[in-house]
Amino acid sequence: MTLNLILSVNYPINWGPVIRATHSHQPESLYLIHIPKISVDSYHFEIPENLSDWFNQHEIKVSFDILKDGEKLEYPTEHCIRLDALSGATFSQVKLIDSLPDNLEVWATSSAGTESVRLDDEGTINFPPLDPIEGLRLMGQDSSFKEVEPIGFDLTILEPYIQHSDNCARLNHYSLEKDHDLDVFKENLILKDRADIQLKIDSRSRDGFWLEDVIMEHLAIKYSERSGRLFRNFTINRGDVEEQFISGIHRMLGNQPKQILPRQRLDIAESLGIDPWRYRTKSIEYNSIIDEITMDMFEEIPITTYQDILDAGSINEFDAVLIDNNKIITIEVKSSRPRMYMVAKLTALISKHLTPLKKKGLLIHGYDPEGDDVEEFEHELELWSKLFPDIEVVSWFELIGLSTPDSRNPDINSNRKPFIPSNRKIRSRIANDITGDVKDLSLLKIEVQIHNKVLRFLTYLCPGRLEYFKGIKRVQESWHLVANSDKVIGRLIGKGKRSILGQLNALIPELNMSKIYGNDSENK
Amino acid sequence: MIDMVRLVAPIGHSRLNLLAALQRVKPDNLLLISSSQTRSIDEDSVRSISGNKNLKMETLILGDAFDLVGLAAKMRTFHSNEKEEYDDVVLISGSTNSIAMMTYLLWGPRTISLPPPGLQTEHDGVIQEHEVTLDDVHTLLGLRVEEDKVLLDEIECFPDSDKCIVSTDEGRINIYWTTPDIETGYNARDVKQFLYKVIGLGTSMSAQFGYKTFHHFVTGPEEYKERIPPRGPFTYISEGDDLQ
Repeated sequence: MTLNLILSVNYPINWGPVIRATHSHQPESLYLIHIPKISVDSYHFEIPENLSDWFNQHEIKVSFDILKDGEKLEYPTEHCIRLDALSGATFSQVKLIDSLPDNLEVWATSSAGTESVRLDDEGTINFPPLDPIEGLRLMGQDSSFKEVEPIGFDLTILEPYIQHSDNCARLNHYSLEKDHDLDVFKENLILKDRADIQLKIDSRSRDGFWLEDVIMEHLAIKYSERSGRLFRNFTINRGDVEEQFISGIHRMLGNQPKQILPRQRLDIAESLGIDPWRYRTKSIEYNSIIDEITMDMFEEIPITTYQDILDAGSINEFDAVLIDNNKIITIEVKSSRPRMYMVAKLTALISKHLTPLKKKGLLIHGYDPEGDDVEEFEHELELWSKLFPDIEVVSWFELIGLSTPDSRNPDINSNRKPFIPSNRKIRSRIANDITGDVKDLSLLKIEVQIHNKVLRFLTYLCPGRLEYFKGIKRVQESWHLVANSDKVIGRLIGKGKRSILGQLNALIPELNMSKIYGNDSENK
Repeated sequence: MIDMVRLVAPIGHSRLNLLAALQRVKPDNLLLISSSQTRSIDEDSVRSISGNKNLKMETLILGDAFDLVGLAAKMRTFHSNEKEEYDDVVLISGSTNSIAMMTYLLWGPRTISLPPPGLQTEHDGVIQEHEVTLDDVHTLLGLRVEEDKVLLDEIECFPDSDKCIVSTDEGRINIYWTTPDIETGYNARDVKQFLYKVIGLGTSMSAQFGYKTFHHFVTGPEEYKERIPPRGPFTYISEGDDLQ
């Protein structure tokens, strides 16, 4: 017998309940009926493209009707007719029931999308839920993400490296770089636990990206035990790829040039002719260049950087999304002190984008207050728990179950930081030389190679000082870095300038500047 | 007992729909249907806002509102064990769709609903508007309105808002916000963070107290208008626009 499913829908249509009810009943025909509560001038009925394909694959005929007051719906009584209460307002459903034949069955599908129960009689259908990510795709929310598989890394080895700094619990990269391998080019620290399992974490301690890597491994381990699925770098894409791509390059160059990796730097320079490390957003000349960027300029760009740019241009990026037992938990990681607007933002984002499921948010932070700040922060947490009950705010070390230096031994002054010399003078002197355009790409490639070798060398000489060297690398050409690095290293390790330069030249032949830049460069 | 009117009212987070239904139906009896996800409701408060101190009340607690099999079985059992028969009117604008529909199927067909806009009821084919007072807000929702602020257990619900007004005739609480003024030292990031706060608080409080309880009016530059959701309890007023 032909199965007809009738759903009451609001206008514009909320496709989430429609998809779940249809997935449950698997009808031959789906009737979407709108009963106007307030007058609408005209209706535009359009099924999202992915959903339309899905209906076609399942051979479901779909129609949309508007039922005005006093009108009746007519259906062949020999067919099975079901109304599902999941979609639309009860007010409209009641009107539909009045207008449908007596053989109507009334059902309700659970909001989790795992069962449908007959309400006017006995009867239950159980079925595997639609993959929530697939549900989002069908609704027209095109998303990108990377599914995280647990490595099984023992995160307790991090405990000795936790330091208290600016009222936050952070990893001491100075110590980590001494004890573990560093990949300068990819800006990764490769950690090894007692079982020799490796975990790569971002070496850029200042930006807190390392925390995301640590958190993802913890959550992946924890939730894989209960069949949860973790997706990181979860972005909601714009409808137009080109628009998203251009927006991405604008954001990368406009807001985050300091976060651009060496490989991304080369790729962007090659396709665009702009060196992002020297690009200045306030320059009128370069703003006009940015306005003229088109996707064609990136035709040959490697896929990794292409995807990075697309991610940067998405509408919203969640640090991670966790699907657990038909719940969707959106995760935001902040290495600093959490603020109310962050909790509010998470609430706003999960409501806006992830509508088809039960939604929760998890804000993981690095704040570790002391003294009077403890009470103040606890008060804030209590306030947020009442204002935003769907969001849980927790520190990363509590989440993982690690103790901070204060809780291990409160008598030890944990605020001691490694000495990092100021580079303010270097920055201001160099800033005038920055132009941003790439005169010779081959030189830039050599520069990046030198840069990486120099960084490796400096890190070898002065483990733990990488952050300092990376700080100056963003604003100056490599020859400047090298020219100044001898003084810096001299200060740091107390050796003479000549011996350091000698070692550098021996290790890195390209450092003979006259060969690369010619005499003009030397005169700069 | 068939001549006695009973309001059968599934309730969710909102309470104003119960207020309107009680005002409209003026029942002798009330059957409240709630779930473990619903905040508890004080019977004396309900009698107080109904204006009927002798209102007879009974509460059916269903357990998990998302356990469809369990709630359907519990409602059927309760219905079949009822000994008295009343002239039932079912509130179908409360609780989840499945509970509201089950209530209608068991205790219908007479209904009362709350069609938009504002606080109005439709019963026996006639629409009637309702008012809400400051006392109602306090009695039903546990919220206090003092010095232009909405307070929940001494906590300010909408920090950084300009003011709030209980709009008696619209049957809701209006909250007014003004975006930080960039000309007085704030930057675009401050405005974005402010708007996140407005949307986050607005969304969260609506989820807790019902989607018709609050409405937010945000005033600011035209360029931020698209950041406010087009649907939901928000209205963005671009600077220079007429409030009407």
